Amino acid sequence: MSAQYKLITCNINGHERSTMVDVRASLTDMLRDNFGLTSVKKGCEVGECGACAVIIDGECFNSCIYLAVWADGKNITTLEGLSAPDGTLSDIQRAFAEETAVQCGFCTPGFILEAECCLSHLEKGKLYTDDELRKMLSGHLCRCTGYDNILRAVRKVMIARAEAK
Amino acid sequence: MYDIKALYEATTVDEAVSLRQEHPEAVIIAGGSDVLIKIREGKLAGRELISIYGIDSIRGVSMEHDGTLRIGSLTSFSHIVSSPLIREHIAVLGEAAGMVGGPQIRAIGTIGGNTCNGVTSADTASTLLAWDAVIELAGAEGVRHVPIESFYLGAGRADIHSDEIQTGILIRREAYEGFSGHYIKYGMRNAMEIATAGCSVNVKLSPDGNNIERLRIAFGVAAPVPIRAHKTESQWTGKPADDETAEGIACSVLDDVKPRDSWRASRDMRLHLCSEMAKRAFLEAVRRNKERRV
Amino acid sequence: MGALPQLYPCGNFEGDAFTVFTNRQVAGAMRGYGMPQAIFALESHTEDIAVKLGLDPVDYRRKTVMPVGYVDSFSKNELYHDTFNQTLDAGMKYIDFRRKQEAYRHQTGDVRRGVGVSLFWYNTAVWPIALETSSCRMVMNQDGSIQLQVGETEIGQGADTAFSQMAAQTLGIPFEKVHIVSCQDTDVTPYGTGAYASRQTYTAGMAIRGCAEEFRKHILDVAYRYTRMQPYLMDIADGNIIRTTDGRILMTLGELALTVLYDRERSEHLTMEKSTQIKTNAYSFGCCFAEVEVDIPMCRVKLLDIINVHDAGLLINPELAKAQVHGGMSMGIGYALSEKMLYDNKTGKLLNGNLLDYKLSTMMDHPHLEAQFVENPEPTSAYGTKGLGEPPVPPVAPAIRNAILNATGIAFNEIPIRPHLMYEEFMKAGLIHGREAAKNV
Repeated sequence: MSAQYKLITCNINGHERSTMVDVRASLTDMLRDNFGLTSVKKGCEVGECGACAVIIDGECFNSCIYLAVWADGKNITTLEGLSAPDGTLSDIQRAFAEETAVQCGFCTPGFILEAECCLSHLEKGKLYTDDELRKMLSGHLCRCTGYDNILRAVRKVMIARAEAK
Repeated sequence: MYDIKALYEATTVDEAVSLRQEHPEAVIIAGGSDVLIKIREGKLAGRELISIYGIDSIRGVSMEHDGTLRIGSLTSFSHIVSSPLIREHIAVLGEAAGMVGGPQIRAIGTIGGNTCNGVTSADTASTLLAWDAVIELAGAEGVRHVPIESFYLGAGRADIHSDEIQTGILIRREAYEGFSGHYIKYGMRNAMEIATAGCSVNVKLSPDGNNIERLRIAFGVAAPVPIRAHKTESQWTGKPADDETAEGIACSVLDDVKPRDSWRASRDMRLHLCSEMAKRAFLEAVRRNKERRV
Repeated sequence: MGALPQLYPCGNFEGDAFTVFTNRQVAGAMRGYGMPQAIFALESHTEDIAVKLGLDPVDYRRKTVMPVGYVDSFSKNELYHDTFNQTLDAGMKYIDFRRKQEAYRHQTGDVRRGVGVSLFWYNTAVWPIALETSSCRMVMNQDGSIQLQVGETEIGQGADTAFSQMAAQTLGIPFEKVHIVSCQDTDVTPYGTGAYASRQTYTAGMAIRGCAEEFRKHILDVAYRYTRMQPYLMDIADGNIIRTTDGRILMTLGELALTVLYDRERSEHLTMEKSTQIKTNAYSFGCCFAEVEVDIPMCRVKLLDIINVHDAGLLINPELAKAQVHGGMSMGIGYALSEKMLYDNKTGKLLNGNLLDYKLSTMMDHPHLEAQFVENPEPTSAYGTKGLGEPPVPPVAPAIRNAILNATGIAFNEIPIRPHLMYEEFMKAGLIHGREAAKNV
C-alpha cells in the first residue's frame, strides 16, 4: 500500500507530544522509533511475553498489539517516565535492584510498569495477598529469575507505600 | 510495522456501518488481540481494517429499566472483572473474563471480539452461552437481536451481516435472577493460556433449595463452537441437587459433547475432562446458590 | 554416562551412550545439558529401588552416596566435606520431610499429596575434557580506581559484580573503585573461553586473583620509588599504600597513579594483564526436595513447595547466588512439568514455536522457591568457590517426579509430566476410568 500517515497527539511521560505515525505502526514501533524509548522491549510482538508493556491511562497494555494511532489523546508512561529527570530511581526500580529481581533484564521494564500500575490501584489501608500479586504480574514471562525476587520486590514496595500513607 | 492495506477508523456506530458498506472486504478490529496476531501470522496480512476501537458509546456495563444487563461490545475483560453490576448479578462472567490470558490481554481484549471471532475456546463465550445471552448487532437496516447459541455458525464464523457490527451483549433478568454459576477453565498453566476445555454451569434451585429448578451447562472446546448440553439440562432439571445428580451429570454430558483430537489434547482426554468439569462446576454452582439463600 | 557411578559409586558399572540424529529442531546448549537428563534417570531409578526394597528414600541415599574423600579417577575431583548429609539435613528440615512422609502415607481420594527428594553432583568447569583458560586485564586510573576486563561475560547472572568483588578484595581497594567493562568485545577484551558450563567464578576467579596479586606486587614495587619503603613492608588496604609495621598510610593509590604517570624520569601507566590456564576442576553438590498435590481426576499437579540446597563452596555474593538458584529451579520446574517442544509427526514441523503454546511457567505456576546453601570452601579454588550456574537445574525434575510417585504410586519415566501424560498413566493404572466407565455409573 501507499503509506498512510496520521498526526497524533498524546502525553508521553508527562510531556505533550505530536508526531506523524504510519497507521501500520504498533505503539511499540512509535515509542521506540519516534521517541527513542528503548525500555519498551520488542519481545514476541504478539502479546504473549509482556516485555513491551506500557501504562496507558492508568492501565497496563502490551504496546506491541496496540495500534499507534489509538494512542491519540492518551496518557502514556514508559519505564523512562518513572525515574526522576536527574536519573534518581523510583521506589520500585530501586526495590528491583535491591532484591536482585533482575537478571538478563529483558522482562524488567514490563514487570516494573505492571507493578507500578497495580500498586497505584491499591485502595488505602489494603494490601494484596501473594496470590493476588502473582495474578496481577502473570502477564510477563521471565526465563531467568523464577519470579521469586520480583514478587519480593513488589511486595516490599507495596508494604513501604502502605506504611508511608 | 503491521502488514495492513488500509485503516479506516470509526468513532460512532453509524460511521462503522457506513464503513462496512463502503469496504465490504475489510476486517473489523476491536481491541486487536486477535486480529493483529493473525496479521503477524500472515493469516490476515495485507487486508483493510475498520477500527471500531474508538466507538466509546458501546463500551461499559449498564442495566436497562427492565433489568436487562447490557454489556457494550467494546468493554474490555478487565472492566468486566471490575464491574459492580457484573459482580452482583452474573459474577461468574467476571470470573471467566478474569481468566483470559494475562492482565495486559484483559486490558485490550473485548467481550465483543471474544464472541465475534467464533472461537470455541473463548472463556467468556461458554459462560455467555450458559447465561442465555442475546447478541445485539447494528446494521444499515437497524438493530438485530440473535440468541448467542445461534450466533455461532461454525468454527471461526459468526452470524454478522456484511453491513453490521456487534454493539452489545444482553442478559435478560429472567436469565440471571436467582441463578448462581461456576466456570472451570482447563489449561496447561495458570495464566497466559487458551482453554484446552472449559465448562460453565448455572443453576437455580427450588425455593426449598433441594431440587434443580433450572440448569444450564455450556462447554468450550467440546465442539467446533461453544455448545450447550441441552440433553443433560432437560434430563436433570427437577432432580435433587446432590452428589448423585452430579455423578449423573458427569455421565450424561458425554452425550452432548463432541470434542475432537488435536495436538493440544486428545478427544478421549477432553471427554474425560468435560465429564469431570461438569460435575465439579455443577457442585460449586449449587453450593453458591445455597449460600446465596442463607 | 559418568553420572551414576560417581553419585553412587559402584564396582560393576557398564553403560553405553549413543548420539542420534533426528530431523527435529536444531538443538543448542541449554543450562546443564546432559546432566538434567542423566540425573532424572538416575534419581528416578534410585527412588524406584528404594521403593521396591521398602527402604526410606533419604536413608538409602545417605548410605549409598559418594563417600567423603571420594576422588574421581578421571577429573581428580574430590568430595572434601560431608556435603550430602549437610544438604539433606537442611532440605529435610525446611520441607518437614519426616512429618509429611508420615502424613501422606495411605492416602485415598481424588486429591493426594506427596514429597520427593533428589541429589545431584556437577562439574564446575570442563577440564580435563577440554581446555580451560581465562585472562584478566587491570588498568589503574589516576584516581586509584581500576578498569577491569575479563573474557568471561556477564549474561545477567551477576558475574560482573562477583568479579569486581574479587578484584577489590585481592587488590585491596574499595568495591566502588572497580569499574568493570560490562560490554566485553573480542576485539579489545583479553581472551576467556566464555560464559558456559558453571565455570565463571572458578576459572575467571583464578585469572582475577593471579592478575591482582601480580598487580599488587608491581604497585608496591613502584611505590618503593616514592616512599623508599621496602615492598615487603607495604600493603594495599582500602585504596591506600600502608606500612604494615605500624599501619601508617604512606600515600593513596590515586596519588601513586598520578605521580608515576607524570614522573619526568620514569613515567608509567600502571597496568597488569595475565592469562591463566586452569588444570583443576571441582565437584558441586546439593539436593532438592519437592512437595506436590495431585488432582487425579483433573490430571493436574500443583507444586506446593520446593527447596534446593547447594554446596557451591564459598559464596562471593549470596543474594546473586540465591537468584541463580531460583532461575535454575524455575527451568527445572518447566522441564519437569510443562515445557515441551511438540512436533507434527507427519511433517516434522514444530507445532508450538511461540510463547503461548510453549508452556514456560508464569508467576502463577510457581510456589515460593527456597534456596539454601552449605558453604564448604573448595580447596582448589582461588576464592573457595565452585559451580552454581547450572547445578540448580538437575535435581528439580526427579524430586518432583518422586513426589508425584509418593502421592499417587505412579512412577513416571518420562518428562515433562504434563496432564496428557498423567491422563494416560492414570488410565493405565486404573486411578481414573475415562468416559466409558463414567457412562456406567
